[in-house]
Amino acid sequence: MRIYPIAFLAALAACFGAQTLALRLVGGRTVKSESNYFSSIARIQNGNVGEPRIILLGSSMTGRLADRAAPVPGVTNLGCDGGSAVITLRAIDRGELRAAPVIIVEANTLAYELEHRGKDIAESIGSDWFKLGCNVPNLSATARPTAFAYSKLLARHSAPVEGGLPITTRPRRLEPAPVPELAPDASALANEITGIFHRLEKRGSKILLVMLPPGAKEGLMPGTVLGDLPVALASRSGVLWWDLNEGLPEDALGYTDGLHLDAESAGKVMAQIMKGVEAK
Amino acid sequence: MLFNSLPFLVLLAVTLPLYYLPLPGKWSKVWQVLLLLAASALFYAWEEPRLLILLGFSCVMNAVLVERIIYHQRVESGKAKPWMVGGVIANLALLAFFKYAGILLGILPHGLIPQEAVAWVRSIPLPIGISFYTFHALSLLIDVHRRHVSGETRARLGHQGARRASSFADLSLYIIFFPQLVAGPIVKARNFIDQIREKIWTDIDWVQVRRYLVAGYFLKIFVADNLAEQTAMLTIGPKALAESDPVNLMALLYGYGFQIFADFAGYSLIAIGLGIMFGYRLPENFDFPYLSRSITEFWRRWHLSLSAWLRDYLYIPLGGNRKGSGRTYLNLFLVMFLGGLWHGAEWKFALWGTLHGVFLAIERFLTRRRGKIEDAPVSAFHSIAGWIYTFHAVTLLWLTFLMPDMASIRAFFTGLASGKFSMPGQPLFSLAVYGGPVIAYHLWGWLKEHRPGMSGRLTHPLLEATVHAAMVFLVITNPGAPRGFIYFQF
Repeated sequence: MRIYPIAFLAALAACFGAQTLALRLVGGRTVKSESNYFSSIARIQNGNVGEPRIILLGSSMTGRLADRAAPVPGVTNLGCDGGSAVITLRAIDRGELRAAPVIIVEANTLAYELEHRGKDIAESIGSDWFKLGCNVPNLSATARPTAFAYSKLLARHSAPVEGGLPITTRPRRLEPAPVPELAPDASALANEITGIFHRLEKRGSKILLVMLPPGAKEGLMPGTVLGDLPVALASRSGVLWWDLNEGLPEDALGYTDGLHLDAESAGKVMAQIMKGVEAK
Repeated sequence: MLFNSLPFLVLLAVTLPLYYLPLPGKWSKVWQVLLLLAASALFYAWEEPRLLILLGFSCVMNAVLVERIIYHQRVESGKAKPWMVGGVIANLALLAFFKYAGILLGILPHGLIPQEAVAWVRSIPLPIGISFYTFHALSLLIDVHRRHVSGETRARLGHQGARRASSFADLSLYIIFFPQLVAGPIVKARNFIDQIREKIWTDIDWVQVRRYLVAGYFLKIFVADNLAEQTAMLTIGPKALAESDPVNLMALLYGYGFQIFADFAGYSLIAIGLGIMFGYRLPENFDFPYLSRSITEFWRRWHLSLSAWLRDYLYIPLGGNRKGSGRTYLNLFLVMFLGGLWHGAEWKFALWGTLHGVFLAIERFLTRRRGKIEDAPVSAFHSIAGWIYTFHAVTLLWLTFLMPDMASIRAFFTGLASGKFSMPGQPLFSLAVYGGPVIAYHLWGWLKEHRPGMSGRLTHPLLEATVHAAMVFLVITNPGAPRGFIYFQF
């Protein structure tokens, strides 16, 4: 029965060989896996390998932007499906992930951190398994065989996008007052993020806090305990603030489920963000 | 400790070579039993060492009980039965306290027990695997009392004086042998204790080991863990469920049917493979259950070791089918109700078991003159119709198993009746990719049963090695997010 081990090793080598070839053919990374968790991990592992000029931090809403809609040179998307920008901000602050000259932070879902959403992703960052994936491409989340198939399926619905949003606003700094009152835990989170922002700015990064369309969602609306967090954070930290929903017509963008942008709209939003960043 | 964790692989890598150290024959068996006991204790106590206290207490208590039963049978004092009955009650009391106290207190009139006491009882964590090791202990007590164990086993467990330590070690190994400690297969005492003897490295059937382990890890890590991320959406709450569309809900439900099979069958296959590595043969737990053409047949293919346990120690003692048809239906109903409740201290499990009992009783009534459904020669049409009915009945009943409350179950059906239509990409993709291996596994089972010649040709080493390599590749490169086994909670 010597044939078994030889055939086994040969077939295993063939599998890894095919995976390596497929990875090269798609430019070293897939776009999306059917698993939200592994899609997030893949984005973060990829982001940790290159030297991006701009990084996007946020939730699955951010995850729809650059890379997935269409690759944007120099931009890396670290959106955490089911989580928020706080997860990756903390990892950058700890030195587990790389910073970039421009850091764009999605404001919509920051309050999710108060419910510990995306905890599994936060725990994975910095683990041995995560680091192994950063160093061995075949074992990274982007090289999952199912991700090749799923990305191929997604690509059928993607088309190049031109133009931005029909808005005239630009990133600006909010006046320090009046600041909405926050619940104690939200206030503590705002203070923690403010501290991270200031440390990143000292390290040379420019921070832009962005409210993505469609804006705050149910339960996180301004005037609610959690909904005031983004504006309060922008005021306390003094970083650039940009609400892309200001002046945006309601039917200007399309969503797959009322919350996540469709591919075309995601492309437009990304283009608008790039305009704002370049203009500053 | 989980079979799919790094600490377990380290434990295995250290234990296995030590286990087969070439020692003089007299010491070899003692060393192997003690080493397995130590490895099992470490395996069990890895996350929560305090749980060892209860497990150790159970071992000591049952060792004393078994010794007393054997002693009283030997001297014919007539006290063996009270010791056995007392032992069964003591084991069930332990199980009831740690697993069912919360649900039992909930039944009592409000105010009868102080709320603080109720809250304290409900705060006690469920000792992992208690349902399984309690069933092992009950099997041991009853088999010894019924003299359903060999003379050698009786002699081994009934030692007096200094040799009691040896009896205790053997009995403890039966209860805490790590491959089956936490989630089975449930092994009967008579089938395990006789296997405790010196093991030799060259006796290991490595072909069987690799088949069980590769299939088991593949089902768990590639299939079940990946499906789990999608099927978690079934527990997002009634509001979101009611707003979902039917295609999405059915894709998730089928996915859960595949997931629970892959999770539990995967665990069982790993347990059996590990057992063979250490020289112990554990019983098969699954026989391609989704090939069943009736619920009756399903229970002859699903969780076989639990079905056999319930049959031998509950259904038959209750009278089985020997006391008339009315009593038979009642017994079926009762056994399935208790079998459901065995899975967890929640009414949803009792409902799940009871509904299975209702199906079993109806099928028995409808086929009372024809014998077993699966034995009757039927047309291909009837076979397919029976399969469709069984698969959907079993799959829909998983809802009661999975859903956190009745409101979620109602919301599921509200969503199902909504008439909306969409093609949800992620669930359908996952169902196709990860459900595919479960379907292929059952097709393989169908071939083995109906076209044995063809299935024999498919076991050529070259083909097997290629398939195994692909499975190992997917386990390494395409695992799901690591999570525990579903049956660990029972």
